Amino acid sequence: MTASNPPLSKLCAHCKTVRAQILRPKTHERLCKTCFTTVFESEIHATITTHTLFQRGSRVAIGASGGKDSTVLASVLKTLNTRYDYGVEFVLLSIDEGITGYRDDSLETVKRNAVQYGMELCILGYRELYGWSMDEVVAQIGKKGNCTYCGVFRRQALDRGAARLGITHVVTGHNADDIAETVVMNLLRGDLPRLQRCTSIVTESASSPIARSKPLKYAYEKEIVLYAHYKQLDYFTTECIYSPEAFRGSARSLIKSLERVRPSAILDIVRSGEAFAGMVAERPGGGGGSEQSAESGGGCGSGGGGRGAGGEMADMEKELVAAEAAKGLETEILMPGKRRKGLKGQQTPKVVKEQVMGNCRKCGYLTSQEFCQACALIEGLNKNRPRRMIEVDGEEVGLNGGVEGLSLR
Amino acid sequence: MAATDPENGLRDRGEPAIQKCKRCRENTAVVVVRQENLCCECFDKYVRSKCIKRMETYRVRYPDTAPRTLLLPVSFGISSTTLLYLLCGQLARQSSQAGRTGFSLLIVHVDETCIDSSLPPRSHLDALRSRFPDAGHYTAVGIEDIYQFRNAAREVELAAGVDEEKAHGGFDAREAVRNLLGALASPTSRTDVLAVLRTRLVVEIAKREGCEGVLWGDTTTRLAEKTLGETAKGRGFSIPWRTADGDSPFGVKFHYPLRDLLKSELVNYVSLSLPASREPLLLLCAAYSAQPKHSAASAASGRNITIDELMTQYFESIETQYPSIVANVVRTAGKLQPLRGSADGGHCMICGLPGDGAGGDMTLSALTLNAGADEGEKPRNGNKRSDMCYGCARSTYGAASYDWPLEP
Repeated sequence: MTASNPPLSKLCAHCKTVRAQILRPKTHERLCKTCFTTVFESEIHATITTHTLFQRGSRVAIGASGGKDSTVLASVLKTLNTRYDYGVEFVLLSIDEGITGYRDDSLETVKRNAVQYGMELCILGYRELYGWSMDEVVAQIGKKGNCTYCGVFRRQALDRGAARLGITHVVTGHNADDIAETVVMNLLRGDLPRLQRCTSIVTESASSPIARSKPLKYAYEKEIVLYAHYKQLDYFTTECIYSPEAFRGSARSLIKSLERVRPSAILDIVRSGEAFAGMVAERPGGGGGSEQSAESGGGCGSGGGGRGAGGEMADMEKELVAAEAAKGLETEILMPGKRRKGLKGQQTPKVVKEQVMGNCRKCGYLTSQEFCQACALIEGLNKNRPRRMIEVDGEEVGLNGGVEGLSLR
Repeated sequence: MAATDPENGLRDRGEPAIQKCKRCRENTAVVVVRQENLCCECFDKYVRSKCIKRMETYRVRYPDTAPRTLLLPVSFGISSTTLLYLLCGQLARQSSQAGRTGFSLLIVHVDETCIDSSLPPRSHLDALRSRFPDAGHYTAVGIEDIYQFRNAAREVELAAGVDEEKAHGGFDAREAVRNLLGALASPTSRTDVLAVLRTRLVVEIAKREGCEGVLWGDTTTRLAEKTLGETAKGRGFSIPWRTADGDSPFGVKFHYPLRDLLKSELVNYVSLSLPASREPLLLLCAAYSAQPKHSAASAASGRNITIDELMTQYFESIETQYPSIVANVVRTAGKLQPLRGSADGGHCMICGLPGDGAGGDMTLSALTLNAGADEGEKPRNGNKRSDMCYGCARSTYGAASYDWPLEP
């Protein structure tokens, strides 16, 4: 690596010819604009090639929200595809959650991006797919816990969108900060199954026919913003207005502090997370909640960080206290001397049922249960929804396999 | 609840409504522990039982066997002082009940004043010795003594004059430690490597003195800090070895008898006049300061604070409100198993743990990523990064020349 050399200190540490303009957040190297963008792009190229993310001649969908991450992802992929001749056709796939004042505006950005990058665009809406927009979900259940709905819905929506486009691979804009945050969050929540898989760059699971990958896995959020700035990319900055995830909020502020102390910390956490993947005992079915895979489970990860909403952590605290109290009521009868080793809870081996994937009886989506998670959630929502007239065909058809018949473009 | 000071759980003595202890229902409650009002006696029982439960392996054994020696490192902080107090009580009870003890203690203080002169002097060990004269054998070592545990081959090398300066008899271990830490690039790296040195020194002494294991004073809170701290330093792979009870890769056992107690509970514990000790233990905790080392502002700005200190601050802040979440982090860490296949690889030359073999992968930038490993950044000191784990490679990254005392 280039050591900072006092006489050259004003020059770019990489090309050593132009005056440095940027203090690179990841390494604190002083670089010029051109070198920064080159380095940023080549790191993503390296991520793509070392993991062989793309096959020549394939079509790949970019999950596009209009935010900085996916906009930068689309722009960089277009650049790299041309520069290194990947021979991949990229398509933009957007999900309209139906959040007024947030998604409606950001979708306008995506539409402009589609023109700017010359990519095909497909937009799928929750309203059309599930009969519920997020605004309506929130109106019904309140702001607490709505991220669960959004996460489950989005995951399935992306799969459906990809299927419609005849695509089996979706790339998402998750960056290093997001992944580090998820690692910390899963440690705080004690969620081992998610801890195990949250750092994998490609997630393929039995529960989804579509592979997801994260080419920006090692890219810092700050550098993504810088890149977008220097490339003058057209992106949308507002954060989701419903963002009550306290754990993520707590993890996020911790990550930001860590980054200030040691800029490499984000990358180091990702590295630790990669180690954790091999440290969780394999269990069939991967423990509870295995249907939600990878990044999307439990929320979207792009929320604003749950400011002022500590409810989630308080709830978990209560649950844990209750569990502890319940444990105190049990009388454990153990063989003398057997007690010491091992942690509690391992003493009664859990019978883990092998997960068998099938199709949801309602919508046909892959699931290990009778109904998929989305249908189960909608069932709950519909039960409480006041009877009302059927307005659109799509609303009723939505879940009965009629998705494909809808014209949404 | 409303009448308690939420900050420390100690009940406000000036408050009119007298609460009875929830356990004995007789005495006046003086402290709130996990949402229960407890009196001094019941709180004492609570703390003792948590520690004794974790020390069950070292009950008096039949038939008669020689007591196993355990090393107890004491830093003069709250946790290790409390642990010494609790173990001393346990030993006394074992003696009076069985006529002998299940273990004996070697109490070791690692003196780090050569690096930080604000730390209490090693002579403070006398205060512990006079307070707990029957606890075991007391000894103090300097952190620089790590240089006494040099690998034999290295000694030959030195004697042969490979290293001029040291061969000429002028070797100053204190200077060497200062140079070593001074060579590292950041305060975080310095505290990180210092902790590595401390652990390895304690292990070397335990082995030399024939100790079966080491009793670390880490509380739940501290173990949670370690879990996230090591994660943040890229040492995720090493968490089982730094937080779990039982065999360590160093050949001695590690135990954490205070793992079920929160730091704040111990802070309360040492502040009280306990049934068996009228003088609060706090007076013995020379290294403890109620004043946080860093203001919230400096934590926020990231100036002059280390990752470990940041984690301490983080968990001490969530501990009061969410103690079960802190405990749950430790429980989760306990479910992580050593990386599969890590035992086959070599040990990291710095921390001595079975490496993740990943020091060589440590990259930050495409400048090194594409140009081939380590180019333009020749490993100094003859240490190859591939001999290190990722975390140690990170902490020694960008370091000036240094003399590493130990071999893997």
